[in-house]
Amino acid sequence: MDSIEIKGLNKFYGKKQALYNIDLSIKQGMFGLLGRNGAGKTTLMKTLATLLQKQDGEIIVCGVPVENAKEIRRIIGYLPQEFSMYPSMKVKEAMEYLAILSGLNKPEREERIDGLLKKVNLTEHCSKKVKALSGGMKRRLGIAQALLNNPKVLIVDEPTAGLDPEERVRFRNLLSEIAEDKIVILSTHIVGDIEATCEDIAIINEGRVIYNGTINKLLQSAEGKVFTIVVPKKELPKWKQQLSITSMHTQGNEVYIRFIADTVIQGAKVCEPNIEDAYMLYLHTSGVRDILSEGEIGGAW
Amino acid sequence: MEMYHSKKRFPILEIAKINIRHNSLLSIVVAIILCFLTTLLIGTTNLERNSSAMPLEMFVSLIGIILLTPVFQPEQNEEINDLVSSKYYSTTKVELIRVMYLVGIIVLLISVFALYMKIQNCDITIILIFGAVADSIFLGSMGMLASALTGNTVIGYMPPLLYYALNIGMGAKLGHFYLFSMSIGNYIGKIWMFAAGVLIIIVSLLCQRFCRRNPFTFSY
Amino acid sequence: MLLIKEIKKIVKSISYLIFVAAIVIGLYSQDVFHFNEQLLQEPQPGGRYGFKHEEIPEIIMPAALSDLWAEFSANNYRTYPIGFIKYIKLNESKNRKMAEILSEITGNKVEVILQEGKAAFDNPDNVTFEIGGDTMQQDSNGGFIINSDSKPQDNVGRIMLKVRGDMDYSRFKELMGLADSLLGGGSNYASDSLTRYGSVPLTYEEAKERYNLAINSDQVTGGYARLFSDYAGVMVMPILPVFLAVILCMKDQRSKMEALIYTKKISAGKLVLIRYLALVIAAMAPVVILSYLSNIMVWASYSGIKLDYFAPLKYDFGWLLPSVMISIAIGMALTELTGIPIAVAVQGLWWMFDVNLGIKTVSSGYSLFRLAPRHNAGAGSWFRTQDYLENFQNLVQNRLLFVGISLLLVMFTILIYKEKREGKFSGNVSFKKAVSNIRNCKN
Repeated sequence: MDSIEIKGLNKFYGKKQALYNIDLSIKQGMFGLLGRNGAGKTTLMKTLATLLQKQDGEIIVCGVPVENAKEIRRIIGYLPQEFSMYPSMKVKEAMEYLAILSGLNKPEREERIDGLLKKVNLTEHCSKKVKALSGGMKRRLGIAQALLNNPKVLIVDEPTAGLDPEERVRFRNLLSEIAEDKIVILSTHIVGDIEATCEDIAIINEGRVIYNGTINKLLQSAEGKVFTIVVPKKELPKWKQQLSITSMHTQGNEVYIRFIADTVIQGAKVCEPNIEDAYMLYLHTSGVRDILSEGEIGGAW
Repeated sequence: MEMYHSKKRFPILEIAKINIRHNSLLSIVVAIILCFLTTLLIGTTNLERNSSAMPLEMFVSLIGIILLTPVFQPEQNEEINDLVSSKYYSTTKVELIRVMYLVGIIVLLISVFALYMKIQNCDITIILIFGAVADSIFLGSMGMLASALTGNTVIGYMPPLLYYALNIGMGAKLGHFYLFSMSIGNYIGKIWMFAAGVLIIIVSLLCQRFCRRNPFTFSY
Repeated sequence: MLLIKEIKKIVKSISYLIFVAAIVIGLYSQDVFHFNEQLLQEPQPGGRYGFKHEEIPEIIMPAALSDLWAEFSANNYRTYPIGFIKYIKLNESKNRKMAEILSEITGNKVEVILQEGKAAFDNPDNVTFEIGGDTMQQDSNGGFIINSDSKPQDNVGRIMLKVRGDMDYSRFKELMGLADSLLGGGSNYASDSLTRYGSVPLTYEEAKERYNLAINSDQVTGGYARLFSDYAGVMVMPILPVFLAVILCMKDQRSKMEALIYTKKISAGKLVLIRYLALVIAAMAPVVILSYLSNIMVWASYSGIKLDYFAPLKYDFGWLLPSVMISIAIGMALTELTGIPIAVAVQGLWWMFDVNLGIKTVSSGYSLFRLAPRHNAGAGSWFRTQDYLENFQNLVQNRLLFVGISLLLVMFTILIYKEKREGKFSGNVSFKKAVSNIRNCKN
């Protein structure tokens, strides 16, 4: 069976190290890379997609070492974080051009492009300019172009950022469908994406893999470490300092706080952890504080 | 499902056609405008050999800057670069195709211009055409190199224009690399310029390829 | 303060580094840092002091005739209808009319003139003068000068080609005007160009007067500052600042800052003005420094003479600033309007044609629409203070015009910016539409 093996991968930008000793083994199906912005997800994915050169370590994609860029490009599909095309190109033209670059001949192109545009629901927009598409449509076009060469591996960088909730759900479903017979690597900083689609995940923080395993295991490891407490609103600042809060919401004069801790504190109740909590726990144990002030993760529960 | 990768010839013509239409059209139009302006503003009738070189060297050769400098521009948008670089055919090949058809257009425009002068009773020879093409490629290659090094096409236009100004200012002191040498009856330098131009183009293609996968951050 | 921030943003960039390097290289190539090798010398009695042009019929008539005969026999006339050189070949009937003119001037029969002209051309062994480009050489300033030493002496001897003794100068001028209109205008025989043939040596008194004017009016340093401005104004300042402007405006697009800036509170007018000001300051700074570096070189050579230490500054702001202003204004306006660096092409073409248009007027080019005014011809000539003073009015008009156009363009930029911000003008839609129309036509 196809797989991606990464061993001892390091990556530097000048003197700054972006990836530290990454070891990962990725099998068929959806694989989620979770991490904050700037954690190194994009660097890792670009290295897999041969857009960046690795310094040392080993990457083997479906039996092909990553140094063999030409061969790798033949078996991967890549959707960058931001998708855009030459400003004057229309949807169909962009697909056509990218298909040529992917090495498809004319009959293959004709068959493939129509099929893919249909699959991502863009057939009726095929004579629109790419830059005039909405965020969701662009992302769908991005997936369609990444599938042009029918790749064994699909690499998708932050595909749901900036999509509205409905588009996001549709997009996840599309990816799951594709993952039936491929390796799909998905990076995100949105926990919900991973929860809905992936079985195996890795959490990356500051260039290091701090968790690699299944979602169930991740949840198990957070068992008994997540609590809730209700405090008066005016005491909130004090609690904020004391606790590692994963989320909170206000009701009247009271605030419901959800937090992670090693032992229970007075007045708090143990509760069932969700992925977000477990993710926070891992970030927390690897020395990251002030998670909520980042404003990315968390929200209503 | 079988993989879609047929072993076959590299689709040069198709790539060229799409790139001319989407990435080079504006510069081609500007280059043609330059040629028209030259015929309007400067006399192109009844010139003997050295005088015939003047419109070709001083004006028409500038199309090299207009056409070649923006070769790397489309992929200087990082998002587009990420996208096309992950495809099977390398971007360097695409850029090489662009260079080839742009050089073709340079030769074509200069030849048409020279033919027009010939019809107007100017003393035009193949050597004059070659000299103007050499000038043009030399100037354009400078722009390409600067654009590749800085990652910014607008900066790329600066060195060749400065070099042009230096030629007006310094004249024949520039030796083999004097752009307007045919106006004073010197043709040898054009071989040097042509060779240097081709070399610089190759260097800038390599440089662009290298910089792309090993980014060191420049601030603009 | 926003202005300082913007200046920092411009100055701390690789493009600015290249900009400064380009200015230094451009000016260095013109020897502006070696002005001390060209010193003003007090004329001594009995020396040679150069030439001046005067309307002296006895000198002008034979010289002009000799040139006209040379061009007539080759049937190849050099004209400058709009500044660029243009060669004219006359058809048979016009050629005959030209022969009639020559006939009236010299007193020879029209047929003889035609025959001898043809003979001179068909039998080049008998002819010493050359045609066209070989007599044209590039001088050290890059202008083209016509080498008029090669005159058709042989032919003059053979057919007695000289002005009739009873030729009246006003009639001669009329005939030359006729010749000029036969050639379509812009020839050396046009009445305003005819005095160029009246070249006479300067007398000691005149040279002394020139010298005194340079000492008193220019206070020496003014002359050097003027030469510096001539070089900087033609080589670098009309073209290089456009890059700074285009790069700054494009930077917003590249880094997707546009949307962010559009929503900021600062008014469009203020933002554009501050940016414009920042660009102008950043572009002027190296020139001001270099102008002083160049000027200081000569100060020591003129000890004891009263010098104007502010001369470089005066010329920087009076002569060069308007060039910088127009260049940056065009850069900003066109980039905001179209979203592409078309301003580089526009300014580049304008500059190139302007510089080449000016080839004939390098010594003093002050016409209203000149992007780069000129005052430069040969060694020591920048001290032609009299010429400068006579043209000063024109220079002022020219520079004020450019400042005015620049400010209009800045206002135009503010308007575009405002519209864009309010979302009415979605950037370059109409422009891009036009481009895509061309594209579709081609296909």
